[in-house]
Amino acid sequence: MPKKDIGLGVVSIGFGTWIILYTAAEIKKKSQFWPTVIGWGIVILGALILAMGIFNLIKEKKASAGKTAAKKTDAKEDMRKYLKVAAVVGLLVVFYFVFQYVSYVLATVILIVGTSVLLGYRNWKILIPVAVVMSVVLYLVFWKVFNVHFPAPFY
Amino acid sequence: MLQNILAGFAALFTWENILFLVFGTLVGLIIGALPGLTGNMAIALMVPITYTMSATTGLVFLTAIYCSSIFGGSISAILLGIPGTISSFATTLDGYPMAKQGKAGQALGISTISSVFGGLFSAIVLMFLTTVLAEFALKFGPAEYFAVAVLGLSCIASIGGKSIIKGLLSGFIGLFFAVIGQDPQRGTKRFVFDIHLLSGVTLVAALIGIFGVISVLKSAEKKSKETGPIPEVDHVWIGWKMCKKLLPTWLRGSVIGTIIGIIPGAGTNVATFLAYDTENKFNRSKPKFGEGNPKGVAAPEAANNGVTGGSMVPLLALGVPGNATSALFLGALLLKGLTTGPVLFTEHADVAYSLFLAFFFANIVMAPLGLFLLRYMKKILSIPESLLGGIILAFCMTGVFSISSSSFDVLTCIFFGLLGYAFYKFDIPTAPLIVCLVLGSMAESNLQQALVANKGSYSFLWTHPVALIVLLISLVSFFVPIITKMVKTYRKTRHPEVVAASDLAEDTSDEMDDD
Repeated sequence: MPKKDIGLGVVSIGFGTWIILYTAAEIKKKSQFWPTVIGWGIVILGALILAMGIFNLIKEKKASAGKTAAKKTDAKEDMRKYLKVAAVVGLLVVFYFVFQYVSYVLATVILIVGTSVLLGYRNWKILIPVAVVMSVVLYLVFWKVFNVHFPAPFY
Repeated sequence: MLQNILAGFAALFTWENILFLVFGTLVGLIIGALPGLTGNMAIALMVPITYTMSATTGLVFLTAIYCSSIFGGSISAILLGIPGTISSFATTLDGYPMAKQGKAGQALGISTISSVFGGLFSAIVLMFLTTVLAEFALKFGPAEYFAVAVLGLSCIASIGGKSIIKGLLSGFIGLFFAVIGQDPQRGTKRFVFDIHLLSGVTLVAALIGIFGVISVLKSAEKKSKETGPIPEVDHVWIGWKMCKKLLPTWLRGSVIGTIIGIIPGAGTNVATFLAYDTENKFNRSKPKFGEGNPKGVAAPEAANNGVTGGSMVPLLALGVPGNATSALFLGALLLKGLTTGPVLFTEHADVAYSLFLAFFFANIVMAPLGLFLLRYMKKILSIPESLLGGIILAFCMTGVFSISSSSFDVLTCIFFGLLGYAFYKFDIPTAPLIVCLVLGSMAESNLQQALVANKGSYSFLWTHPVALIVLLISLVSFFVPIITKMVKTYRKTRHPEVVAASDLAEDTSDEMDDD
């Protein structure tokens, strides 16, 4: 946790500094007040989080010693989790391109099947029909009822 | 007022509205009951659909989802011991033991009637208090509105969860996203990296990302777990004798829920735990609280549905969303080109009053529909979360695209989903981000207008009495949670056993923005 806070603090300071610098360089003077206040706010809060993170890390280091084996399994488990999340995000990006340039239904079927499999669903006899029916129903409802025109064709 | 109520009735009672009232109740009940899916997520997913409806129909639909999803959360709390929404956490404490004792039907019956009672009570308060407040707010100028926006922003300290600093950081990041686009007074471009950002971040796309996409990302990292056996639900009607016995509990719970709901940032789970604790202090009957006492189900359920109407008061009367749900309603109203605050009552009184009545009738519809549906809940609760994940994402993406047929909105939604996930990993609450994203531009534009009206002087901050009072209240609202937390930390280090009991409520409040 303290390490996370240190990382968060550093990122916040960097982000806040970027807001301040960008505001000074790119935004007209009369409109600078609000973004500058926000930038400084983020920098100050980031510094506080960083300081607290360092303080807690020192405290934690003093209290713990020799728990590396448990930490290694945790790291492996964490990596598996993050890969799954990254894969879901990847599916969203695939959807973004496929629904625009290839086909809405195909994009939606890929998204539903891919996400459900990543989340641990394995009953294909249910999954495939559900994905196809949902995709077609969503397309027809949004197209016919809500008058939405999708960029790519149906199929 | 009577004329407006009649106009509201006329606007509400069309076949289309009644159909969406029933359908919304059904959707809310099912989504609320499924663990992992929240009422806010359901509302966020449905906002784009309301775009093609009339303003009244859209709001009726969302209101029905809101009210019934809060109640729906109690179903899994009682049957599985897992609250469907965080607002049902307190219900688990006595509802689940009742189900284990073979009284699942009774517990569900109590939760249904209690929710309906709390919801109806808060709907009445909503109607009368909002109109009085809105009438008063008609006299407000930019100075007063700036102060009101600051009051809304001040609640970020109380909705910030465990760490106030992280809550504030979340709020500042929300303010940053609110400045993207054009300066409200001068039209200067700020952080416009793409032409689509000229009119700012699309609020609904951001909200769908934060509520919809994030719920799937969270379940992606969880290990799928089997739910235990679901107890049989026998007769759910509790009888008039029990109703009479629970009446004082319902009244206390409803009052607590409604008052807490009105306070920006206080949150549903604060209301439920407060109601539960109050009832525990009043209780003289057996079994004890925590061992399956019917009052332990009635109090939090009356309170959490009491919050529904209460939370709409600041939004409708002043234009300030006090929680994430009211921010979602604001998003829906903005999509229809409507603004909240007194203008809503002067220019669209029929919409405003039909919304009040929708809160009332959504709760009435909830009673028979809820009691009927409870028998089939066993089947609904067995739908695996893993199968729903893909469907939710497909719904999110399609819904976001449908708002303005913009692929850029789809990207915005994915971005905010990722941001929400990063917030979750770093223990940063998302509620302050949402509140500030909505209120940032309101605060800035009113400040600029007030400064122009006062020739660049900040004297309006103390020469306008209403603005001054509201700003003082904002200071109190901002600093009280900070001081309370500091006192608690001090007491914890000195007397750890005294504060241990209250930690449970605090831990759950960290997830309040999920509801």
